Amino acid sequence: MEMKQILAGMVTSMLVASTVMAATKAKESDYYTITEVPVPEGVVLEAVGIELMPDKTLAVCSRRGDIYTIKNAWETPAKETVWTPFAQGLHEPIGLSYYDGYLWTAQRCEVTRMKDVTGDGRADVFDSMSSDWGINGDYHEYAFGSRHDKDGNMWLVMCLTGSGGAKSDFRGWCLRVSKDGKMIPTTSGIRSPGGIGNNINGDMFYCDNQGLWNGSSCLKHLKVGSFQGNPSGNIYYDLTDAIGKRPADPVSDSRIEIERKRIPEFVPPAIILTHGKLGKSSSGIEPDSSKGNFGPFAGQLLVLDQGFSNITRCDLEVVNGVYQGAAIPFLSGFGSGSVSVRMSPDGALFVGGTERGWGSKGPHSFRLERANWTGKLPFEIFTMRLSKKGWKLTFTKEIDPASVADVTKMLMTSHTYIYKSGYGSPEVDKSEPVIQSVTIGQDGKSIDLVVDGRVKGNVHVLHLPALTSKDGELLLHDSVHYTLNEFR
Amino acid sequence: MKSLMLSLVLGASVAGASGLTWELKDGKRLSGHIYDVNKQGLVLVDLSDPKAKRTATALTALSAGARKKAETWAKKNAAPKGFGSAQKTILISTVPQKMLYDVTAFKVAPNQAVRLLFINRDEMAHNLLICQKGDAKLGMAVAQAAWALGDKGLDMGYIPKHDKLFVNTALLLQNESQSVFFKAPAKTGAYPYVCSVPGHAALMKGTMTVGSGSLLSGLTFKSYAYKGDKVPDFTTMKVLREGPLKSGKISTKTAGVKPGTAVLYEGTVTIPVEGNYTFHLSSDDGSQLVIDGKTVVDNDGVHADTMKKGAVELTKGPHALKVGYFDKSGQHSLSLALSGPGMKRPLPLSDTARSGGRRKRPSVSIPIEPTETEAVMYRNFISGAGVRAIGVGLPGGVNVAWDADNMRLALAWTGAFMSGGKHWVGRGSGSQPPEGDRVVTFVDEVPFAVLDDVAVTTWPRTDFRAKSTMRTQPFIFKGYMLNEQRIPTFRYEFHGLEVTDTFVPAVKGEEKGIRRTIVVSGKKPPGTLCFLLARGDLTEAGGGYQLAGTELTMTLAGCKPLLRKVGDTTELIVPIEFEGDNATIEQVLTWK
Repeated sequence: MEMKQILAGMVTSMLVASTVMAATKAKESDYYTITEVPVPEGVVLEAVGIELMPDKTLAVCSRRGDIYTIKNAWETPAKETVWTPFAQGLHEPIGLSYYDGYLWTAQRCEVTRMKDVTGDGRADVFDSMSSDWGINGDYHEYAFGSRHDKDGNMWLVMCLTGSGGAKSDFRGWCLRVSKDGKMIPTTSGIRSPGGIGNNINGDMFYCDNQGLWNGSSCLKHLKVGSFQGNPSGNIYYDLTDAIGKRPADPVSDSRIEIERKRIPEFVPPAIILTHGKLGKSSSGIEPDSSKGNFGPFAGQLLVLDQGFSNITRCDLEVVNGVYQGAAIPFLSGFGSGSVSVRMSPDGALFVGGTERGWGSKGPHSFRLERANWTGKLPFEIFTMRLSKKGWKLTFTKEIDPASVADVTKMLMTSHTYIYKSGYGSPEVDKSEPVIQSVTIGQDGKSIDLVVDGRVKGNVHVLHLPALTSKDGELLLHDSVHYTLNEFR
Repeated sequence: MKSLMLSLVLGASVAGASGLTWELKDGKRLSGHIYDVNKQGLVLVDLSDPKAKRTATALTALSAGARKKAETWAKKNAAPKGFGSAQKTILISTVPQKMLYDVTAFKVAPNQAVRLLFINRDEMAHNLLICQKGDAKLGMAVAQAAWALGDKGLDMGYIPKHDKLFVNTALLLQNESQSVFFKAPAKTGAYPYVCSVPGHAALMKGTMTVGSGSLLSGLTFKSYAYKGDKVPDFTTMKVLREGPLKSGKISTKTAGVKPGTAVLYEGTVTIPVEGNYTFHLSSDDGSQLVIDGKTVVDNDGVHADTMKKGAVELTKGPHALKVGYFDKSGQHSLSLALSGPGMKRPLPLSDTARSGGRRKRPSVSIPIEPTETEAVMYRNFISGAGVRAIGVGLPGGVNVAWDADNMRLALAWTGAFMSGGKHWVGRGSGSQPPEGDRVVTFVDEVPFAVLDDVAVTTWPRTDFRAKSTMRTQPFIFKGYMLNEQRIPTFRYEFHGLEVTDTFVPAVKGEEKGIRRTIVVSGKKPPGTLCFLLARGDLTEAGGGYQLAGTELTMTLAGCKPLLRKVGDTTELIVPIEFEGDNATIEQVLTWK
């Protein structure tokens, strides 16, 4: 008896020891699980739009033109799902929005709202709400639709013709379609979107992919009346006076920071998702609206990447009226090229994928998955906000003061991209800003960095490989990329 | 402040990398990707040409800038010291906007000195990594090792440290080309290659085969002038040309075949293991294969390229092989391949047998069909129906494509409905034609117009919505409703009138037809409102109208149609007669 107790005690202490060991080598899967929502045999679900319908029904649209509704998609443990073909034969619909009793989608050719009036679960009414833009038969002329904003508008970002042309009306523009079908030109300067969505405050953003006039994939704020950086579509100012006069053309082989001084309408990318490092083809956007059900990051913006099959977490702030902020690696290992995303209020994050035509790290040609928080708190960089002399960082847990004592173990580099008419750009104007001092906040969960040599217009990459929590945990992700558009 | 390396270089280095244009001293310009810089000078290759045509220009003819660019490339892409000259050049390029290599299989001999020339034509950066001997999984494993480099990957050109990596190019930007020199492995077998940029390897992959060359040895040819219709008895004929075929491959090119030639190929085929072998002999015109004095394949006579097979039991070791061949006139071709124990696919014994390479990808069919009780739809780019086309496959094997830009019936056909083969594969570019048969194309005009004079007023083009344009005309597509058979009723508006357009099957056994109903509602506009049904070589016959060149007959009810001559063509129009606030046109389309 005595012997047994001792043994049990030993086992317990060994377990504790191994838990600490495991914690220092934490994995994303300790905190977030990725579960496949199985697709019925014979269904090809290249999921590019996900929406929540009433009664916990999920709606998913596919590049092949189908929309399915799925019951039991977010039960834990997984339950058998029930699939109903809601619609079929649509023209590459991207994005779904449930609004005013209708399911809305953006097809390549039009904005459509659909309804089941006979009650068999399949739509019978297909109302064409707007088709006030051109298409010419080029595969690249995609239309991405958002969920409705508070005024009842669906926002659209219209991909260019091919990689760089604007051969059809309003290519390279963001348009809004009102609930009664009125089309409102909203911004110019779009290149090749990968997704569109609002942040937690309801401001609309989209992701644009590396290409002509775009050195790296990035998250951009769709401020009404703005120019987003690619001038190909600016010829269509001739068709509308909704957002004023055509802005000045940018000069190639320059920098965004320089050109936006000349072009007042130019809103710089809110967050540059450093190409090849955070991703390579950013796509779907979703704010964490779960109020804590999805973990500690409530209110932050989750941004998908098709090629990297991952999610980056974005912490935005507004400085001098311009969005900017931090991008932090969040969750990787999705099964296909992640494009569509939707969070349920109870904290299930649905992610849809397709790799067709572009490839992805995720090995499957298509996938529907669900990420859930395990309830365990990861040790992560929570926010990085600009201060007068540097940045203030907050963490999800209290930090070990000893681990930040040596500033030489905090590494910062910065870079930007050439802003040019050609495709992409290498990282240029590299610098190494110097961290002068670190002050730990009174809450024990934040640090103030005084940094010398910050560069306006650059992405600042901070590595914190030595920083640990009070319990000795290393950061789950020890780097953060901050896009600095404006100084305080 | 430690080291603030802020160097604002406007017009930086990258621009030069993609230059396809080469200026000459005389001001003229050349265009092309670098194939090589050698004794001939700058050799450019035209990758848009199916034969990848090459042109050489002396370095002295180039402008100073172009010459410097060529010389820099030559320095960077020189063969390593002691390599000697390459025995074989393999050219692989990327297919623009396709995420593919143009060559997905190539073959080299063991220990052969090889130059791999990789050209990136795509906008995105790509590389090419040849792995050690293994299957496609090994290629993926090496690529995944590159993906695992994380945020260091890009700076390392996505080249992982991996013991199964054999040889690799750098990460090339658009229009860059690179030569990589290597000695082929001694071990025969398959060596996978991939692009290791994250996500690309699933699509960008191929296989290098290291093979011990041909099974044929001591191969010679003798060619003769010959005008007959059968493979001749060569013994009495006068030899025009003769020589060895050192490659060990039967070749019409080396033998100088042209119309009016006969050739006798003779050599030894060495069989690796005893067993049953099949020879695949195809030719234009005739050919015969004789093994150990016995005819195994007889593909004789004057004919287009035709393949015949012949099986034979062969012991391990050498066997005498003879191929007799002639071309009387026109095109010529000859290829021979062998399949047998342990061979996954026929092994080419001639230089013309295709073995992968720069082939067009075959089009695939992904059938989209209605069921017996429900229609199916396909909205996409449909050839002949515009960019906002709506295909409807009706139960019973009849189909229509409706154009939602101009509210018109664009196409009607019978049989299979559509294929997703174009739009559901790769990035999905192009227009998909109907999959079925008896396709009838209707007039590409708006359906309604008010005509001053029904007999002569030209059908107006002002309301027509052209491709690529936003909607400015009065026709507004409103969508459709589906009935219990999932058959749509299209809805549109113009000038305050509401119109519906419905197509239902009218199929009686073998006779295929469609009944169309057009309903107009609203206040009758001033003037004569007309509906345009068809334009072309139309004739009235048996109470219906026939469109020349088709098997289609149209009959109409509820209206008084009018056949009118317009220039050298005919139009079938219907002046709309309102009953109160409604008008209806019934049209039946029947394929006879």
